[in-house]
Amino acid sequence: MKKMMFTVVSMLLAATTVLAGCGSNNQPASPDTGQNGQEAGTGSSKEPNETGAKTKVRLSYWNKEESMASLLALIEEKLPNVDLEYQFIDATQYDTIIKTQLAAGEGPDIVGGLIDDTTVKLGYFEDLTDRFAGKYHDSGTSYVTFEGKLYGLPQASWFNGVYYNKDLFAQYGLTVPTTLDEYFAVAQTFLDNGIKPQAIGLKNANVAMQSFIALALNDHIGTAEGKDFDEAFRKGEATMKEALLPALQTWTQYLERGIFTMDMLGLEEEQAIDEFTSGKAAMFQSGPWYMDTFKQKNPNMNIGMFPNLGTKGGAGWMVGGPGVAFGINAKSKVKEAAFEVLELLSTPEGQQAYWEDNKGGSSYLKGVVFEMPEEYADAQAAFEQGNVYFPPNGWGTLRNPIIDELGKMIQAVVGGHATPEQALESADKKAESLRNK
Amino acid sequence: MGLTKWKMNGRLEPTYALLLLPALAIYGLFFIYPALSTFVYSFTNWSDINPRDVEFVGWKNYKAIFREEIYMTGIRNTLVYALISTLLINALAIPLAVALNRGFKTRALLRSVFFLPAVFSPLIIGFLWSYLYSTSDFGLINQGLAAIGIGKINFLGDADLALYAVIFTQVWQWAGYNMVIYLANLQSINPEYYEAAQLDGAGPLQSFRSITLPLLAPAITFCTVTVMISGLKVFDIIYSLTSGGPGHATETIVSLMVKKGLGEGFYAFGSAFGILFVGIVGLITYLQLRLVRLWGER
Repeated sequence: MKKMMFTVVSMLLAATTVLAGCGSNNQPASPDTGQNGQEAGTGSSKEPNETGAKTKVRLSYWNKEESMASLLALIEEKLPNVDLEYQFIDATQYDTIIKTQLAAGEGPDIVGGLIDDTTVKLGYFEDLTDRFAGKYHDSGTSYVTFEGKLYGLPQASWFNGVYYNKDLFAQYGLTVPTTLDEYFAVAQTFLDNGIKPQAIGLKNANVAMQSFIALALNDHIGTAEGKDFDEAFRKGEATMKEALLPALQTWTQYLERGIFTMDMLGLEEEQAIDEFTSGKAAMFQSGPWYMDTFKQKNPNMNIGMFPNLGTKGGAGWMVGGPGVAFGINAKSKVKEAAFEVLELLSTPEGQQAYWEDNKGGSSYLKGVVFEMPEEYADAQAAFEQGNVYFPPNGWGTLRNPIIDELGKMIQAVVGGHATPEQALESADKKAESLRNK
Repeated sequence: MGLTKWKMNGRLEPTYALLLLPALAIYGLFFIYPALSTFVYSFTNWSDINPRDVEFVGWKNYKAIFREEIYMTGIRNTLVYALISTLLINALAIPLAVALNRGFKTRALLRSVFFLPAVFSPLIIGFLWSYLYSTSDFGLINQGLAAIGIGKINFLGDADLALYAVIFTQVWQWAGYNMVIYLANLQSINPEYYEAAQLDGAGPLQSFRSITLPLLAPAITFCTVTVMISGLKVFDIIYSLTSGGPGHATETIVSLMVKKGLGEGFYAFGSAFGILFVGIVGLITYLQLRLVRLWGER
């Protein structure tokens, strides 16, 4: 009997220990939440109350906390009733983790990204129209607006253009190109002098895709003829092969002219940066997020940026768009506090705080203009004409899989394993399977 | 503890059976239940845009796997990867173990040196080899090749070469680890067998073939099966070195499963691919064990 009792007690102890470890939260009670360590955004945090306890609001995003430091400090200062918990989730896992949480009726109170026609249809996001409509420029809100309702607030834009080494350009008496033909002439001069015209880490499929999409933007998507392409492609009313084949065929001139080579398929972006900052390559397509890296690797480097160019003329295009749009989880139990955070973000002060750690982009909040660093003077005309756009933002749920497929297939074109037709057909096929999910 | 203590009259002692329950419950909750769920979901239309109203769709997901070329590429790459890495890792680990089982001064140091790569995460190995293989002027291997007059080799950017370049890094990383297992087995072989063979006039090669190799059978079985299974499951090194590229040249079963099943939200399809994958691993492991057993009997 004694033995049996011992066994039962041992089992209970073992089971208790194990189940305690399996619990969703084993944090001690927090004086801030006033609750037994339950997580915010999962139906646990409470609204501001008369006791003065802070309301815990959880915000998830794929950029590290440093990129939000100034904004978090501002929130702490201006919203004493809010305890904002920033949750960084790596971009590779972000979609899966947050979508799973949202599907379970849980997740953070404020969600970075993931606002598309599907997640909106599934009811994951709160309608922000009443409190934020008209505050932001349409160019930023269009991709998070569905059936006339606003579901996300677009933050400082990101963009990429073509960085160039001003000293190398001066050394060979070159001026900044304004058309693709001029670009090819500049590239030929560098080739003739044993310098790589442009470093590019084609090992990264996303880099390959962005190089092509920059040309597609100039030659089709950014033109009057192609302005509806993204929406039509999202709905299955247009194909890449029909619309973008001429642009991809033009892009292959980079290969035919020896500007991009098969060797570049073995280059990481960081390695391409080494080539650019060491003066082995004269140009590099990227955005402001690498400016500090350039300066660290070569403090004396004299850098400028011009827009991505095409064959149709004009001011050129920057590939870019809203960096992230923040939306509110429709199942959040602390919506009012979440609205307060977004309202603070939607002030010039909030925008400035966000921009502090994300310099280089521009704000979509009406009336807010950030001063552009002088390195971007050559791209000013493109900015002034509003030529900043990232076509995949208009592809809805097709966005990430098609970015990957297109990039991979462009790699195959560079490697000689696919023709431009096959590359675009493959992207169309993937898009069709995604639409019919 | 003897088996008799566990059983009374041929039946499992209730006390011990009760003690097994917590472990069994955890195993059921975290393995049996998810595995069965995966099997059931593989016959449905579960996806990110349809997370709730899930319906049965029969064999649709399984048929889709065989319809698309990319999945066949993934299966083919996985088999090539697993087979070549199993052969090379073990073919290198056995002679290394035999060599480092002899008494010489730097033996301990060399054992550590060969084992060292196994300590690192595949992501670090991927980062390291990405630089070593780089086609830039800073790529160490290509610098060496250029110095001896051989042109650049585009290890990771050439679709025909990339998979083999990845395999090489894994042979480099895991040969030393398997060497340690073979060393442990070698140390259990009675030295008298070798002395007797020497007296009978057997040379080193004959001793290796007739004594070492047969008596290494337990380690060979273990190492070949574990390397084969981890080869079939390969994902992390692919992810860190090539991300499945260039193009889709280095996609594997698991990389596609992660991409399609999780990244693209085709959960049910990913489940079907997972079930098929378990079948492939099971079949190959069974055939491999049969082969090793046949070799042992011979």
